[in-house]
Amino acid sequence: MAEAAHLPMREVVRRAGALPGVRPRRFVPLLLPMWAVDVVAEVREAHSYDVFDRYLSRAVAEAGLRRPAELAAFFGVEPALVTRAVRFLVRIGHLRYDGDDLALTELGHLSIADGRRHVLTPGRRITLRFDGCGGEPVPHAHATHSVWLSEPALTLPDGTVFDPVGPAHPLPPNAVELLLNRPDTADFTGPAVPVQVTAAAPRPVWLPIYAVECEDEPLVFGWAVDGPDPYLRDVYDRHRGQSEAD
Amino acid sequence: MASTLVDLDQPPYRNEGFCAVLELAVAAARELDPGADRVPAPRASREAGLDERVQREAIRRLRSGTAVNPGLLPLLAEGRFAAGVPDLVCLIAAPGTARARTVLDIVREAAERGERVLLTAPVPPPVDAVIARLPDGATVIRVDQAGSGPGSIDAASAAVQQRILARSQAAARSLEPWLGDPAPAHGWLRRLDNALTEAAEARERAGRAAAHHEATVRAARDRLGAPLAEIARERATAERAAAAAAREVERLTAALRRAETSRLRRWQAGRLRTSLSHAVRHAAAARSAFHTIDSGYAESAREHDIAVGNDSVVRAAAERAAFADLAARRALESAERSAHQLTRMLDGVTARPEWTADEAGLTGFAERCRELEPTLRGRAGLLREWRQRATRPSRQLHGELLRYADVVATTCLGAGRPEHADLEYDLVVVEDAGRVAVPAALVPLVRARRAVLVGEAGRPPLRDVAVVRAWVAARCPAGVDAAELTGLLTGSVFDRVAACGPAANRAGPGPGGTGPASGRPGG
Repeated sequence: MAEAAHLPMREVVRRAGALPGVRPRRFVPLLLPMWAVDVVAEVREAHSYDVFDRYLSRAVAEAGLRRPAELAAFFGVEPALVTRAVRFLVRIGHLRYDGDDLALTELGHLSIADGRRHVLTPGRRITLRFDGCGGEPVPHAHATHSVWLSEPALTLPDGTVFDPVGPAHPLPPNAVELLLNRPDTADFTGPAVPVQVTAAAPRPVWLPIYAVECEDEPLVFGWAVDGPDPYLRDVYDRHRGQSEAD
Repeated sequence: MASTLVDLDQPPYRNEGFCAVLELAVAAARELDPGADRVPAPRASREAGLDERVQREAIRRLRSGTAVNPGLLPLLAEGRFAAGVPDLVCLIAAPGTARARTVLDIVREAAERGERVLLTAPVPPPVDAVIARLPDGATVIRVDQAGSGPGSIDAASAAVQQRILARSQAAARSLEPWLGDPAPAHGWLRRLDNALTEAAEARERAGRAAAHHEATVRAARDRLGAPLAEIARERATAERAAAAAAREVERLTAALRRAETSRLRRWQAGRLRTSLSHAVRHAAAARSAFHTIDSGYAESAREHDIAVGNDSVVRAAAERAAFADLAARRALESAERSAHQLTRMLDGVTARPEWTADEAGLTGFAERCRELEPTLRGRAGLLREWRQRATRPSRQLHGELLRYADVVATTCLGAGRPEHADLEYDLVVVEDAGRVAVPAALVPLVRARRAVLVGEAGRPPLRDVAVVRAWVAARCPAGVDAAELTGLLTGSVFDRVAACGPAANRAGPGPGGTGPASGRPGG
């Protein structure tokens, strides 16, 4: 990551100063310990549905039509067109043959319910990120719009030095599995939702933040959000709480 | 072009040098043939250099092992044909009717087998000549045909939409009764259910009324039956007396028979005859008395039945039972009428369930209709949506029509246009392949499992050999196989494949113009 991507202290000072009713006392550049897990994943991505594909899938799901010949007669299209569309839908895992009859797969049902054509793609390399104090997944916006450091050291050109908050707590061994089983997995992984992964060992990473001590509640600024970042504030508070408990 | 990381030890990258020369040939062609952008593009001014991009994309596919035919790279680079798998066949024939007919047969037969065919040529006319002679029935799309002319994607889309509307009209009409909230069919099904419920209730009421009637009759018989009972008793006494007299006659008759046959008892016979004579007269009198009493009893019984039937309580119970039975039958008739309506609504929609006009048959029919109703409602709604969709002009159909068309026709470079670059085919036929350089031929070849290259032997080089050699001598980077580069710039894909391919991969037009191996390269 180029140095220019880092948020300078003066910008945070400007942003905090612009907030009504906030009287900052001290700006503390910190590094939050986090975890990164590089995985090779089979991901599920949503694309817009094509017309035939969508109606064919719906006919199997809603209209009890099970055979290509029935489908062709019902829709008034050439049997060859239906055969090819069915072959395509079988290939992308939306339909399967149950004997001579077609049946919708789980992915097909999901796609119809969602109105989007979900497709599984194997072999995608992605990095999943977790916080360092509870192993909770990092929201996708923060994961993608933040600067992640592989070493606990950062000094900006203006001389701002970031210090680590403390060591990361061990990442729970089932953190990735828990993430994959969440109903809101896409909030943490983005539109390419991993459904099966081969995970490597987690590696520690550090997230630069500015903790702003104010006359009342402290604020936390990061890269992903223009103003005070409630997510980072929560992670920071938990780190601080754990440090005080230790 | 985006760079691609490759592992040179992996088999797909074994011919990396050949791929590099291919890329160089594309760049060299730009300098040797300035301004020759041959991708048919309505927005050519904005898509300058598209031909080069599509060729580079084809080379990238070849290099990264993502060509649809995995044997294409070793075949072109090393002349290594897969044994026994003629996935790339050269049809060697001079231009003319026989060749055109052979190409037509190859395309037609492949389409009839359900294969997707890409028909290409360096320029549109050879493609047009074949397409014009293809029989109706197959979906044929000229992707570089602008506007809505014959064979264009717009025309194909409009034709498909019209066919959809025409063919689905009858089904839509048949399914109409199952559409709406509440749907007419649903209303009739509800009527059938209600009628069956009413019929069941009426039948139960009729049963109760019949039982009450029987009880009332029994009570009336008891109440009105005292005189008849007295006569019945007298009748029984008379019957017993008649029976006893008859038995006495029988006994005396037997005794007389024994006495007459025995010498010792013969003296008793006279007395027995006298007794028998009395007994016979007595039995006759007893029987007569019984018959008289029995006739009186029968008459009294009839009078009693009439009296019971005429009893006001019994008559009221009988009327109630009759009315209840009538109501049950009428409810069943109402259910039957609903069932007939539903049967008409199932005509042309699904296999009609058989039913009988009794309670069990109608109940079974109603159950079957209830099972079918959600499916038929779903079909009706879906078909209505589908037909509404088919009435709207839609560019969204274009991509799918191309993906599912029987035959897609375009120039070699046109096959790589971004709108349909991800399409794959079972067979590509490159007409006039003797005029197509390898990089340009790759554009269709990487998109098909099998290929037929059609051309003639002994065509002149694609470019002036001396000019190409001079360019190569001056501009060829160090380490690049200059001979290979020269060959790619001057020779056609047809020459290259025909020169190194085994005999199994070369064919001429068959007798009467039928194609090589029935147009089945690679089976």
